[in-house]
Amino acid sequence: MLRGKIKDDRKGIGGFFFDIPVLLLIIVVITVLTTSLYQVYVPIQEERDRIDQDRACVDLKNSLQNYQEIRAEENEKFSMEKLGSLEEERLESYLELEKNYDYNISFEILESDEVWSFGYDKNRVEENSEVGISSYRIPISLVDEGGCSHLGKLRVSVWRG
Amino acid sequence: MERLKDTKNDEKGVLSMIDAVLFGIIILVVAILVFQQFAGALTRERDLESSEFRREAVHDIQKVALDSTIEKTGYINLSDNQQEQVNLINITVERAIKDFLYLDHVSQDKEELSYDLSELEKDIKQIYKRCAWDVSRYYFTLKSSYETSELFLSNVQDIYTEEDLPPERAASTTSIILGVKQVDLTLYIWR
Repeated sequence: MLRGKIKDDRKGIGGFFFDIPVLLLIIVVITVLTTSLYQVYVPIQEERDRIDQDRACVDLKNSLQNYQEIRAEENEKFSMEKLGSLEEERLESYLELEKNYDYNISFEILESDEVWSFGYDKNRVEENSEVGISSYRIPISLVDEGGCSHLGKLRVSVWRG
Repeated sequence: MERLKDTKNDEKGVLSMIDAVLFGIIILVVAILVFQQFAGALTRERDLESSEFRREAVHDIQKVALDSTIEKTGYINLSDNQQEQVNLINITVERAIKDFLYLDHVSQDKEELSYDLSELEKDIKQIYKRCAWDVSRYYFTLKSSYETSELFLSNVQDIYTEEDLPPERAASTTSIILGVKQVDLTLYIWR
């Protein structure tokens, strides 16, 4: 009976040492798995954030297109007169952008380089420096005080604040 | 006999090793498959989003371009061996397109009538180029037809029919009334 028990003890000691390489292998596999998970997760999350940011940018553009305070009364074109007198706080309260985003909006007349700009950190939004910034540019029609129509550009830029 | 039993223990260790290697391989294969699914779903989401943005943009571009005003344009009336310049002042692009389609049709339909519409065509294209390319950085093609006439404009060379257009494009079709007929005006954009 005793001899039998001693045999079992030896098996246990021997088994533990045999399991060390197995444990090491499992640790290596789990480490590789965790590292590759992290390597894949980070770019996926960044891409998802980027998509959300792009959507916020388009939503902002749509809100502006529906904002009657900057529209000419008789048609759907933007009024240069109303843009000139628009207060920043009033526009901000209308837009209600998510708090973790900052934005910049500019209305520009193509032939005269006249610009109305609203929002934050205007210097950050430069042409050709759009790293981390979602930008949407569309043509617009603007009407001056005399009723003349001008072709212009609306640029909406959104980034994480 | 005892030594032989110890040898059996060694084999158990080897079996555990094989189990661990198999475990590792299965985990890695499953992980790769899961990552591929994630990456595929993300790519599809990105493609969908890009096509949504293009659809938004094509409607905006079409609407503004048609409402835009051409300050001065015109065409040359070549009927009856004459060469009469006809000027059109402050007309919308929509009106310019209607004039182009109608005059092109009648010049093909009636032998005695002939018009040089290159200036009108050039000015329509110029407005679309400013809206689509200069502002939004999209390539464009505009297509419309009325009876025997056809308008096909693009800022890309080697595009002569709809079949030449790239598959990842967005289109917006607007209906305009010419005479008593409804004419479809389709704008395609892509990057």
